[in-house]
Amino acid sequence: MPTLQMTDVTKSYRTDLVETRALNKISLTVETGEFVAVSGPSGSGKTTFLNVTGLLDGFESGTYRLDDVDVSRLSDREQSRIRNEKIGFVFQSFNLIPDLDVFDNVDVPLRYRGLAGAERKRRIESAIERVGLAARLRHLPSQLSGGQQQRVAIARALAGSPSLILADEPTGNLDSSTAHEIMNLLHEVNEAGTTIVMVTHDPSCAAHAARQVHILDGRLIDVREEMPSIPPRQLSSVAARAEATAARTPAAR
Amino acid sequence: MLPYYLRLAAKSALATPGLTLLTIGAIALGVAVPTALLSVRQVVAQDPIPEKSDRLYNVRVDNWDPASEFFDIQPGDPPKHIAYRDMRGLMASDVPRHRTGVAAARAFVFPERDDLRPYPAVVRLCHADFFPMFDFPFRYGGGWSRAADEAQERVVVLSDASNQKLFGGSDSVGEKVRLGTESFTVVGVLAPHRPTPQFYDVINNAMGEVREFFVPFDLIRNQGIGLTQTGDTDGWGPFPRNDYLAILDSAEFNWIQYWVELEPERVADYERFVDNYALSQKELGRFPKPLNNRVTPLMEWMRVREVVPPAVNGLVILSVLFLVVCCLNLTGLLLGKFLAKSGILGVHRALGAPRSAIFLQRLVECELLGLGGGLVGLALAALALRWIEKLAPGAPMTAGMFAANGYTFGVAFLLALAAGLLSGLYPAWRACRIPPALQLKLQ
Repeated sequence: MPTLQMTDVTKSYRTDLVETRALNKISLTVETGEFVAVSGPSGSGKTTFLNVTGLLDGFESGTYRLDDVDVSRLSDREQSRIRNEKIGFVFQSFNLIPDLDVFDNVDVPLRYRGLAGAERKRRIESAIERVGLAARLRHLPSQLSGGQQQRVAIARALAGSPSLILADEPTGNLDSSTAHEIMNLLHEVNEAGTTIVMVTHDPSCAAHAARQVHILDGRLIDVREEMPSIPPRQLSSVAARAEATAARTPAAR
Repeated sequence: MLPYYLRLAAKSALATPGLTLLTIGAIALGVAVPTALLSVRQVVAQDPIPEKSDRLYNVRVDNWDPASEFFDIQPGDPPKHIAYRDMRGLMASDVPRHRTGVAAARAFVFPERDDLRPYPAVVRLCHADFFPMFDFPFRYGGGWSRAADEAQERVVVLSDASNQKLFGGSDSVGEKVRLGTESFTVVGVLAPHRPTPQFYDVINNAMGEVREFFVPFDLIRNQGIGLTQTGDTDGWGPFPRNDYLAILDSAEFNWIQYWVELEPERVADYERFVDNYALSQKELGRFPKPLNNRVTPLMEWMRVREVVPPAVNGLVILSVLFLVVCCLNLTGLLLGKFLAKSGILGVHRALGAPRSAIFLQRLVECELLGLGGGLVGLALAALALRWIEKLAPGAPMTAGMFAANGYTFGVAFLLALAAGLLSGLYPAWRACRIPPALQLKLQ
């Protein structure tokens, strides 16, 4: 069963003078348990795609089903509930809340779900244990390294047992060794059955994904469909070549 | 979720201590001023004897000059006092359960104790019913009888302060006190008690201390004693200057507040009696104006006498406007703070907080700051009340009258909540309206 099913989703940004189509009739289906990397040059619409997928931003046309629920026209409260229960976010800049310690940061989504104290504690400790930070429960984000902060962010995403994790350049602010650790962690999470959609610039990170899609000028190219015979680990270089080609071609907006 | 929001609010407030102190300070100032003024107003305007205020009536009859209108506070009202002879006439009715004249006189007190020198005092002139009518509690003994009134007995009731001063607080019933030229027997000592305001004498002593001595009213007739009438007076017509008894018995010379205690069902009867009394006086050539008598319930009498001066109400309104100005200034500060933190709000939104949760969180933070400001404001208001007590012009204020109490606390609490709400409503609304994608971009 698909976790995510987008059909002809279109999203534009408007100013008084200019209309920019950030997503142009994007269609994508992600099956449960898939690990999909979304790559593309700066300004191609990757972040917009992630915001729309995470129900952080709306879109003008098309349909979007998440876990077989049409989320296109839900109220703010219903969208918030779906974000809380079905989606976990991992951001490039970690986005931990600086006033809250590790335990309380992981607690935030569970609070909005209205879980009882004991259940929250169990989930928080389990998630933090899973990312290897059990000894840092009461540390503030400022007392942690970048890699540790991203682990906390992953624990926060995992604690709610989401069906989909959306990762936005999860290794963008980390050194290569820490980035490798984080990617391994996401890999483990995916192998445990959680669907992951990851936006990344980094071909080596994209190579961790079983499937890669490329966004260019708001259009989505599913590399698997375009070149089905290429093994997943090589698809990142195919995407990189596509991006290089795009860089040489004037944008068609 | 409220405790959780409170915790988040506390952490947020502690994260920006400078801004938090500034906000609390502004709210404290804004809350303190109206809290202090409302507390003063409450003390002045409160029902001083709630258990029977609906049965106590001030009585006035209009003996005033037909050529001029008596004007004190409200046009068309009869004079605020009545004359001695009218008091005597009104005392004839047995419709009221209790009735008393209320006035004051000055006298010198000559203590028996060697360590005390003679001193001037203000003596309350009243009738036997004064004490049961106004629920004065006694520490020792009691009041005097109506017969003592008639016989003009030399009896006295001491205030607790006088008893402390003259007899060291011991049971002085039966002891003698020399007032003026004569010796008075102590029949009772009041327990500490101060009606606030002193409703039975709002004209001369609304906020002052209870008088030190209470003696039968008609002793004022005996000029040999040395009781000298004092307090506000109004009069017109012939005035026999050198004959005080003639003034009492024949001049239109008003200086007495007259009170009756009536059962509600007897009010109409009593009003008829007062009208009949006025008509009888007309037949004697007095009361030249049309009937204009008043039997005024206590609380209305306090309004008529403007025990709460209109200026106080004006000040209260101004002080509330001052709080509003403080809040409007804080709105800008809080808006800046919330917008600067919109990245964090975006994280909350991404993690599942609906707009309403963000709104409520921000509002709880504003209310927390409001309550912090309210607490400091309460302390400032308590200081301001002590200051007002000391600086109150003209009136013999008594220590502790304006002390902060439950009412002060309640006012400060409500104003603090209102300040938090007023300051925070718009910033909280703005904070929750920013699209989460944009908020996260700002993180």
